[in-house]
Amino acid sequence: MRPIRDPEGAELRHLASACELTGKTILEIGCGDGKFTRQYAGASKKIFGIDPEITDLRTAKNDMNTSEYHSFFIQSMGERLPFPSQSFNIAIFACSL
Amino acid sequence: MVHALKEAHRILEPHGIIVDVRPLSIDVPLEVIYKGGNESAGMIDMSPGRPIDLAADQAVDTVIIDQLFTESMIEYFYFTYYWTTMEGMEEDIEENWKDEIIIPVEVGQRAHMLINQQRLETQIRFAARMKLGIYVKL
Repeated sequence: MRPIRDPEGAELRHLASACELTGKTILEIGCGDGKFTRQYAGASKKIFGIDPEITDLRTAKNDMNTSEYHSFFIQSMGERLPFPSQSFNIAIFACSL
Repeated sequence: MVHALKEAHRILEPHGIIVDVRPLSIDVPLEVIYKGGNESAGMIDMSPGRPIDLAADQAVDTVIIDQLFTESMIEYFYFTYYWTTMEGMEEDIEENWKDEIIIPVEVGQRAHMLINQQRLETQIRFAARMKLGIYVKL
């Protein structure tokens, strides 16, 4: 049985107060099934989520309106990122460090 | 972990930021909540996750010492998980947190006892202590 996670919205509230997400290009390293990604997707300009688990990435993609939020999910490891240098404003490690 | 932080440094623009948000392995109460109140069943043992906390903190310290990032802000908050049954919680912990959380036998028994009192809107919950760190690329 899956729990109800953070119904108070504490994680998103703290993230939003700690850094400006609006208009930013964000990389989430270890995005899993995109539970957290979906929460801040609306605020950012573009989101890339990476994770080594393809099953989780499929869930992330299916559960997100990827065209509306300009979000992309890619199978990759944090130690070898498939992106050019200086291409992101923010890198998020959500329970993945 | 250090490699991942160094890769993050590479892909970030100048003054880009890293957000490190994760639960800390600090023992927290397992609570049974119901309409009009809540009771603690005792403390959850989070000690199995402490080596991971330490390794993550050391990785962050390394990239700060190497002058790749500077610490901008650290704050703490609670992230709550709610289940409607004890069995559901045990199943979920077995599946997802087996190596990080231990529910001591006496705590589990007390939680069962509290749930079985069949009070209105009963749920079981715990609130993990979270650390949110913001680090700026140098």
